[in-house]
Amino acid sequence: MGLFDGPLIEIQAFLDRMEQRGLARRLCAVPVDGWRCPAPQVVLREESALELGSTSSASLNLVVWREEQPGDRDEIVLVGPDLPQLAARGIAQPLALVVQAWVDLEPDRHYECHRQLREATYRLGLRGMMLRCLPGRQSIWCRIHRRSLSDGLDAAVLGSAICAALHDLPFVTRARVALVTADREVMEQLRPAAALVLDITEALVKMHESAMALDCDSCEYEAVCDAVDDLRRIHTRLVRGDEP
Amino acid sequence: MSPVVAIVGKGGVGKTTVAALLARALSVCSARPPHGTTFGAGQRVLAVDADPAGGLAMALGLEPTRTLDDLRRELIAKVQDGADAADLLATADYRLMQALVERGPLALLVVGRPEEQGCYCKLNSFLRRAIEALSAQFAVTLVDAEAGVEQVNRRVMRSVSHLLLVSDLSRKGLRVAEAIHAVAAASAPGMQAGLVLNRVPLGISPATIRSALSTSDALGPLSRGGSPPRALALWGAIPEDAGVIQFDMDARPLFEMAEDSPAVQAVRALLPRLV
Repeated sequence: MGLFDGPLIEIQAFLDRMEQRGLARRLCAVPVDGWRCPAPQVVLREESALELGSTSSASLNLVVWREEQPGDRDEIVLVGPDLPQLAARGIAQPLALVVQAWVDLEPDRHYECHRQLREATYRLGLRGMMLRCLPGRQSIWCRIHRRSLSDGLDAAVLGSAICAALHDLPFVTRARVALVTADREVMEQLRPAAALVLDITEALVKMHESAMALDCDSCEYEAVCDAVDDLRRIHTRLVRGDEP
Repeated sequence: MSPVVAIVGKGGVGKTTVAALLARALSVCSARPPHGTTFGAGQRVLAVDADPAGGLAMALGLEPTRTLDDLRRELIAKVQDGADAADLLATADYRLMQALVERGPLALLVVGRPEEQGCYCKLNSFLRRAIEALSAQFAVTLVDAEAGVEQVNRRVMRSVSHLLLVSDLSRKGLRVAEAIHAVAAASAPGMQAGLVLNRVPLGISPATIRSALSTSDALGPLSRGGSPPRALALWGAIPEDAGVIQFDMDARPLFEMAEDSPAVQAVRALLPRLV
């Protein structure tokens, strides 16, 4: 059993449904060296061709991992229109970004893994793209500069850049990035998975912050730990002092 | 590195007016780049209202919904809730962008006033980090500082490249400008600094002012000495402008003043010093 088995099943079921409905397609990875910047960018509203996941539209950002053999190559899946077609619909559009990483972790490095995988997304710097995340709300907010869109910034570039950022981490062996730009109703289908991810990651953070003092009987995440074996195991090891 | 210009001086000398008119001039340049400056089309301007008393937002005709202090308090609450460091940084980045009020190439960040009593050290420290994080992404950053030397003392100005010392012709105003300059020169020797006189009566030429500054006992210390930190160049003189007074009385944004207004033109003449 893995930490995110529950949400991963939900996410896979969602992607399968989207594929069956002809809404999902796989994109080829593209070189991103010309796009990557050392720091997160600022794009103002006036400069934007697209504003994805802002407060006026639906937004979702999930980062999960699995400790399995990596199998195939990286994958970029687009559910909905690509960025240039999306821009033709209007500037404010919904966005869900689902990042899955296959990881090869040293024993009980789960919290570090969680932190570094999320940072890889938070700190993503792409020329002409502003990306900001609000972890507590699982929100993502992205602005694309008009010039970058006309220079070819699209879902393949964004997905490839996220995969590349993940592979900068030594323990990541494979990545799958799903970008959902379809209607809000489609995106809402990811909410059950999102709720599970939030519970698990918040429980993981709480364990890390207060492992020794944590009283399971009074903890609001007790039910989550009961449902996710790996969390219970991590907690036990933390209390014993095994977690680095 | 893009210039970060702090507009400092005694309270009431017109710092906010100068900051607003500078923001206006830079925004116009962004739309129509003038000859003779390196400031180009579409370049961004960040204006920071760092004065807890506020005023720049109104002068620019912008309405902030969130201040830097709101953001600081939200982050404190998150720390108390046990959020981890990565989440805090991401939240700070997100909320900082959300706190910007935008109009065209201009973005405004308002510092706000802490609700609790006491000193502003934490807010000033937070402000310094925010300016450092954002200014690299803008062609120029204007910081309308609070009156006096506090923010200079607190190293809020660490990333400032240009110190624009605003004063009227009063002895007090000039003395405060000199004091701020001395503090800034000691803490950041590489910073460029210049004096801008505001509300100069019509008919007095810059040459006359310069002459007066070098000979008057009251004003002399500012430009008499030839060695740093005393040497303070006169960068400009903004004439008394009935338009500014009228806009203030009507509570109209100074940002909307006409291009041919004397104050607008005088502030525009400062641009080659800054960008």
